Amino acid sequence: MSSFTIGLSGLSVNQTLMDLTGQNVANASDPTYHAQDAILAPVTDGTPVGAGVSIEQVRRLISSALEAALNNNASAQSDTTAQLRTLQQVQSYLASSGTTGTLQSQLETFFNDAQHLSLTPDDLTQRTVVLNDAQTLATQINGTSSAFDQVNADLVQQGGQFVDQVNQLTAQIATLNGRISISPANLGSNNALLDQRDGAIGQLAQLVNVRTLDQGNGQTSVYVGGQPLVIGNQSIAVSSSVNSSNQLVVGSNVSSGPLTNLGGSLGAVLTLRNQLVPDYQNQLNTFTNTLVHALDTIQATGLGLSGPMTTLSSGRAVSSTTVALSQAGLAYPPPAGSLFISVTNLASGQRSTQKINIDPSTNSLQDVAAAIGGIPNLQAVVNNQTGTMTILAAPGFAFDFAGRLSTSPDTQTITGSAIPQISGQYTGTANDTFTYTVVGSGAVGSATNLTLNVSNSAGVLLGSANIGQGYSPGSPLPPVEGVGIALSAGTVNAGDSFSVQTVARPDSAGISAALGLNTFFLGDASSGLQVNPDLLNAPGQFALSGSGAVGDDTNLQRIIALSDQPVLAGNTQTMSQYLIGFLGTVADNISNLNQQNTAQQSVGQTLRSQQQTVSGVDPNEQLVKLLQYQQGYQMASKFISVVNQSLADLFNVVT
Amino acid sequence: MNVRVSLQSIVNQTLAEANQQKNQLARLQAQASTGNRLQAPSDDPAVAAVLEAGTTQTNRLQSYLDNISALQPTLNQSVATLQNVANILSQAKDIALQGSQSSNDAQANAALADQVDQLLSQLIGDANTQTNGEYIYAGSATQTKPFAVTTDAQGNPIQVTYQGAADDTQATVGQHQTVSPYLSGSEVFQSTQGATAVGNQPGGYNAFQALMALRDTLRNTTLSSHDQATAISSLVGDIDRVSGNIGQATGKQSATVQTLSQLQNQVQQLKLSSQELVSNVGSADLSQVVVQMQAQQNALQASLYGFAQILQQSLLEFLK
Repeated sequence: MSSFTIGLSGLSVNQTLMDLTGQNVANASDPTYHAQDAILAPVTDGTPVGAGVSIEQVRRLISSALEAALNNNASAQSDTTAQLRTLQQVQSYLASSGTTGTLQSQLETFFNDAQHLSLTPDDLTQRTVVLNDAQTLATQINGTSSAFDQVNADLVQQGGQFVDQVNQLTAQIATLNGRISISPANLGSNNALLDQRDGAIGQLAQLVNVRTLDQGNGQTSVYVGGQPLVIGNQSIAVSSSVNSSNQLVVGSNVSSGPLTNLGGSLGAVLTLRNQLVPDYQNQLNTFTNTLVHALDTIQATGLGLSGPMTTLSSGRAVSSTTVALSQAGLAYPPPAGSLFISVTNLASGQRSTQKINIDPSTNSLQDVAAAIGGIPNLQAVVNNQTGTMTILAAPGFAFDFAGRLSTSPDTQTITGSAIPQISGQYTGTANDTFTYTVVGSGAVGSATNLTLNVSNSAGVLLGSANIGQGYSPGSPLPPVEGVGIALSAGTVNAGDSFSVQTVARPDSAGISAALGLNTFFLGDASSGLQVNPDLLNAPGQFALSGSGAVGDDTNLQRIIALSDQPVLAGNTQTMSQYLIGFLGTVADNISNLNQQNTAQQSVGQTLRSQQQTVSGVDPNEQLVKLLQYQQGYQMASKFISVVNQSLADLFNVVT
Repeated sequence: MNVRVSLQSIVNQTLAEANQQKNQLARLQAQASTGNRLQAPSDDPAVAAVLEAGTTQTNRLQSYLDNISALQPTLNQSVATLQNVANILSQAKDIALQGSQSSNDAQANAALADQVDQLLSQLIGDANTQTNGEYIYAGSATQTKPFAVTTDAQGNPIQVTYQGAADDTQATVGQHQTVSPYLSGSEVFQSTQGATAVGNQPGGYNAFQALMALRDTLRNTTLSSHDQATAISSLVGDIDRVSGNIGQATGKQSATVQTLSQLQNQVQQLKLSSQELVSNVGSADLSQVVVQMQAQQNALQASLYGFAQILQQSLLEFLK
């Protein structure tokens, strides 16, 4: 008598199906929930009719391809979102107001104020304005640099937090895998666990790009960057560290190398920390170093209001005074070259300019000091403790690195009694030696056919002037490239000659910037930059003059010219253009990431819609089914009632 | 294909759309309130770079304009002073012409000499003119009084020595463009340039020397009146030469003044067009922004309305 059994199974199954509908509707708002449906099967008992109905399986409505695509999309979105968040922070450091670059506008303020200074180069107030501009710029550079350092530190910390989250999630996935494997595989009691596990994988996908592998028994293995992080009920922990080449890496206990192609938020942190931010730091350092080196060299090779110096100490220390300068830990190691030092007799005004050669691959600070000490009336003392050098002039003398002309020829073979005097300022662009040769013999100012020829070191005749009849002895001859010569009354003979060193680049070795000798800045981009406090305290020392005259601004003109010189990016960009380009790089990255992120969002939106068409809960559908199951329940009840009535009728017949 | 539309997907769709529309609205609202098309360089990196370069250019040009305006008074003063010097020399020439008449007696000549002394001290005063605390004829040694005067017992100048610098100053007025507001006094008042060419004329182009020679010759009582008159007459040429040299310097400074005023116009034009560029590229088109804002608001309202409508379409409504 299976009729009651059949009816009962109908009641039971429909009851369960109504529960299932209730479960679906109850979870409709959970995005990780997958709608479930039941697969029914007739119960067979060997009779031709069968013994009712049973639920063979309660299954999740799921498309694993869509789930994988959604996970990929989540990784990609988290990657770009995390990068955007940091880059927008970087952008706000570089452009504090609107679209104007902070450093760039301050650099321009400095140059514009320097231009104003050219009106009154001896005005202390205006000098202070320009120096303060530079100090503000230095502060901003330091601020930006330490902001980058802070971003890097934050990224390392963030990376650690993400790694912790990855480990928590992989452990959770492994635990859930374990519980799934011991649950009975049919009847749907696993579905909640499967949803939980897939939800955890979805969360993990936001942190790292995951690849999943269904192991067939309901368990899923998880691979990241080609390496397994979850296999069955085992998880493999990962850890992050900064390696010897200052790269943030994530590695697992079982793999030898670091995980690659991480993707997700963690991948974004690695990209930012190892690639983007260091690149920005390099650009900032390149700009800073160029600015510092250029202004330092200009300041060192000019003259302040009080003219040459009597004592000077180096402001950038070497690590050892006896090793070659290239090995001495200098922030701006000098190239090989020469330094011209002028020593002026303060009483007579006589000046002698001498050259020392510096090869940083062999010369130590001690060697440089010895070379300077070899110049008459100069002394250089090295302090081995501090790694600095102090240059002292003998009493009554002063020195400078402006490369001014000597007042007397550097070499001379004059057999007569006339004495040459040199004046003016060399205007050429390369260091050279001018040689003056007398043609004809006799008394200066009265002999006929007496001329003085001047030629450069290549032997090219640059000029020729009458020094015989018609020349007033002692008066300057027309200058050649700014170099003026006067011959006193006296005699000269054919072939008499003398030479003058003409200096366009007084410090081709860059030694003043390297050692911080009368430099504009002290410090460097990494250790903190500041305008030389000596200048801020005494703006008169700001070396704007090339000749020593207070209204001369030859040196200031070099600073002004710097604003238009292509000194960066392989001598193709001015400093201002470079900074605009720098900010442009960051802005470009953000703009590209924004576009990617928008595209990913819309792809994600489409994928989620598709996923919902498979796995989502449609309330109307569920309600219609609920009505259907209610009907089924009613019919089963009716069936039992009819069977019961039939049996009762039968009993009535029998009794 | 009929697809299942779940509650979740309707919610997702609505939220995503509303979010996007609110973002657009926020962007438009920022444009309307700041008047700028871009709020950060990343809004449009290419335009941001153009804006930054344009702003830099505008500021740079303004800095040139400031310099030009600041230089004009100095240069005008220099021109006025040199014109005054030319006047002095022309008076001196008149005196020389008067003195060159042999009918003059010693007393008349002495009176003329006194006048020359007056002119000389005016000339020295002009040569040592200062503006804003800077000597305008000391070259780059702007703090050094350019002409030192040695006087005799009567306080009359007998020697004038140049103490300034030999080179002019240079002030920036444009890219790679400088002008010289402060000239070297030796060039203007005591030039030796070309002296050798004309055979070392005594005094050369020396303005002080020319006046002192005139004065001394007028006071010279050892000469016969005829010789004195001849000597004075020969000095007229010297004064003319000096005047010519001053005229050159005046011309140089006047030309600079003129160049500056042309430059000022040019730079102003450049600045205007650079400002125009910045404004064209960087300013938000307000009417467009307002219209777009309205459109966005409508779109936002439409999607929210749509959501409300679709939620009502539930079977529950019919199962009461």
